[in-house]
Amino acid sequence: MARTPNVSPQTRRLLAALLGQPQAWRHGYDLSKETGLKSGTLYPLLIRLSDQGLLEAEWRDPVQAGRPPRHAYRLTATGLALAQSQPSRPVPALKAKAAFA
Amino acid sequence: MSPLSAWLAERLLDIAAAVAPPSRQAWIEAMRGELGPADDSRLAWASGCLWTAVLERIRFGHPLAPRTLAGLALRLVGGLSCLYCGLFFMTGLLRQLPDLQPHIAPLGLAVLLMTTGGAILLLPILRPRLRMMGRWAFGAVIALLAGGELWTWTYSLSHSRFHWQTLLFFSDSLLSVLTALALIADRRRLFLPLATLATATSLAHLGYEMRYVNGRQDHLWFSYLVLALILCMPVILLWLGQRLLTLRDGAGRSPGSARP
Repeated sequence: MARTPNVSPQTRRLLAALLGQPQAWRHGYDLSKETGLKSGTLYPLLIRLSDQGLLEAEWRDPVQAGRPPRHAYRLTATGLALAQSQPSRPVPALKAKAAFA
Repeated sequence: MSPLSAWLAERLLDIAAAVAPPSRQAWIEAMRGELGPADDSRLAWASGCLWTAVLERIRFGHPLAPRTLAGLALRLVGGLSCLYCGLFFMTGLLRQLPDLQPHIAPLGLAVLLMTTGGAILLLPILRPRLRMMGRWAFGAVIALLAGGELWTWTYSLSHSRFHWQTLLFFSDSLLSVLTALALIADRRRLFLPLATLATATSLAHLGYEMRYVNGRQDHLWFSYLVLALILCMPVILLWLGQRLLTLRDGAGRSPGSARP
């Protein structure tokens, strides 16, 4: 049984972004732009969610030739349930220096 | 995005791949795959990736293991050694501006204390696999280093007329020993350029100080500087060339390629 994650404001922001398009595969940079989370905050969250079985990932072929393949993410059924269980109040805005890099 | 920034971002990700544990290599590649879309902020993106790798290393890599700590601390010692050398090199260059010396000397002395003290504490930890004679020889060098440092500070503090140049003169020899030991202990040659530069600067500063010993003029200092650079630059260039070739061949990356 996967451990229930500690739902920090950053995690809630990420879950909300993923919940916005639950069936769509999302890329890391797109999630970063939508949530305002820097890569040093976003990826540890993605890794934790994936470890806990809340997020599924797959490699996508690049759209442009010569580019490396990109990793895409979407919520699993468990992750979807967790995201929907989060309070619907607005996610607190991130402070300017809340995230590293 | 300038080519330099793109190159730096790639190098940061190379470092992240080296830092991250094997089970996280695929995530590093996932972050690398986003460098293209993050074109306008590649460096910031790559810095975050490096931070993520460090976090994962802390999570899985037992960062408090003595050897890991010693390795990190040795790099800190080397960095401070170079800072120390740079400070005293600047002090020599700024000798014409005596008003600045009181501000530079205390910081330099603090760095000296940290570097030599750190070396005394850490270098024995880093050389546990020496043969018996090597252990004794290494222990003797460490004891000499510690004794010299203790003597220098005792000598300086016991004199009523404290003059920071006294410490500078004695610290040159200590720094040479320190950098030599750092070179010995650094098995992966990661520290070679820093230690070489530190030695070169130390030699240059020693030559500068010797002006007062034998009454020569500035040309002696410059001759020491040129000699030190001639001796050290090939080592640095060879090291850089080897590192670049290693990265180009992909040998610097972790072999873990399983994708999540």
